[in-house]
Amino acid sequence: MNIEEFNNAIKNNIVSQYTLHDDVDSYGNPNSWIKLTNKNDIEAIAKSVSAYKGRCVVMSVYRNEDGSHMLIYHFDIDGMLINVEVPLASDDKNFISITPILPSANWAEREAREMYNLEPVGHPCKDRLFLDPSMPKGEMAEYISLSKAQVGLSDTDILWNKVNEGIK
Amino acid sequence: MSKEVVPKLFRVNTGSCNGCDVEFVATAFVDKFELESLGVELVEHINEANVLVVTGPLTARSEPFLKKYVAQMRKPYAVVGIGTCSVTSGIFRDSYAIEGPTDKIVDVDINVAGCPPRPESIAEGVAKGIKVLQQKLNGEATPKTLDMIFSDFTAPASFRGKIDLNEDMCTACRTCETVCPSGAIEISAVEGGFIHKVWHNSCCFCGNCAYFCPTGAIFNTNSFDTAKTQDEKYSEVNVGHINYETCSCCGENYMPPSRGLLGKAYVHDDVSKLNDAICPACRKEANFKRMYG
Repeated sequence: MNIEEFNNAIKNNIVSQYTLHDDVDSYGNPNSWIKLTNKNDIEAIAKSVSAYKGRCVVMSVYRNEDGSHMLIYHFDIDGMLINVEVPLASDDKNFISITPILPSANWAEREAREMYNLEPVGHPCKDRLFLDPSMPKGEMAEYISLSKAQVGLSDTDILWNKVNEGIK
Repeated sequence: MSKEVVPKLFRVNTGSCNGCDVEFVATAFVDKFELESLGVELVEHINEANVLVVTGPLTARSEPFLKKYVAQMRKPYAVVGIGTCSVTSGIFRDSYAIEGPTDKIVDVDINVAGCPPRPESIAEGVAKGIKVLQQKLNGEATPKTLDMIFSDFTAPASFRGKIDLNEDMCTACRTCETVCPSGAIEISAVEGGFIHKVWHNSCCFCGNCAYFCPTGAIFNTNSFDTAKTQDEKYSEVNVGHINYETCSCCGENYMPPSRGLLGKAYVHDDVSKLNDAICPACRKEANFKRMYG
């Protein structure tokens, strides 16, 4: 199994343009990036991954400055890592769920739903994964600067005000 | 007439990382920490308990469970919060998933800071909790402060413990405040210098401040005396004053170089003679005149 063989398997099923960048990491492991232009093509890729007995390892999501989102599925087929970028338009919150094809994507897609308020359409499970129901979806949509996150800066001085009262 | 109390402990984990829970179990099972001498029983049902032991920062998911347990408890009871998370939500404060700390939901009697606390601190906290329970049973008011019950608080030399500050070494550079992950250090400018505060109930004992301090002014004391009453929650603070000096030449206030920094710069010299009350600007000017006339 190599990336050329996988590319031959997917190219007839993908309707829109895509690019494939083949790479090797510092340990010599094959590591390929596929960039889709049509979000619906992820279904064809998932079917091919399933046919090769591969799995979805995890998903990465990030939000662009214009408000659009990029989903990155990380697939593994017999030790070969295939990363697939799925672009969503800025007003688009829905993407096709690949969980019916690859059950290993179940938690990753539910995490994307909770943390970024994106909806995996056709996902078999509607339950919360880990966020308490009292919390709104899309917690990661809130902007928190890295410097603030790293040093645990508080939004308020309530506790320190109490401390300053306590030591008077 | 004093009633004899049999302390029955019930533990609630409100989203703890399990560190405090493991330490609590170790405290309960190791004879050395003398928890047995208190006659403590661990119970499985909340309605039997009269001492509630809480660990964790109180996550949104665990909040209804804690409320349910508190509602089921028979009065009078004592509440002991174990670990910095329970006392102030620690490093998780301000997270979207945190509803804590514990005292928002239930009236806490004893706080045991630490991340996790040493078994001696936990035993001390439980002992003080039992004492509070005894006083409640006798209809007395909850004490504002309690003396130490177990006097032995020794810890191995490598253990960090509470933070202390050597004011002479500190230059208020704010490095410790910047690297503190739990917001336990505050340095504020006041007239005549700075005030350096370390709030032990928010400290997660990581030792970052001592590690990154450029002058060695802030250090670990190896003390684990962290079991305090709720009244002491906001006053358990180490306060240090770092004062300006007045320049003997120009009269301006300036922050003197700390002995720690001078000691690093002048390895073979006696630094005491270098610490004349002269500001860097005047020192520079004097040197310039000396060298170039």
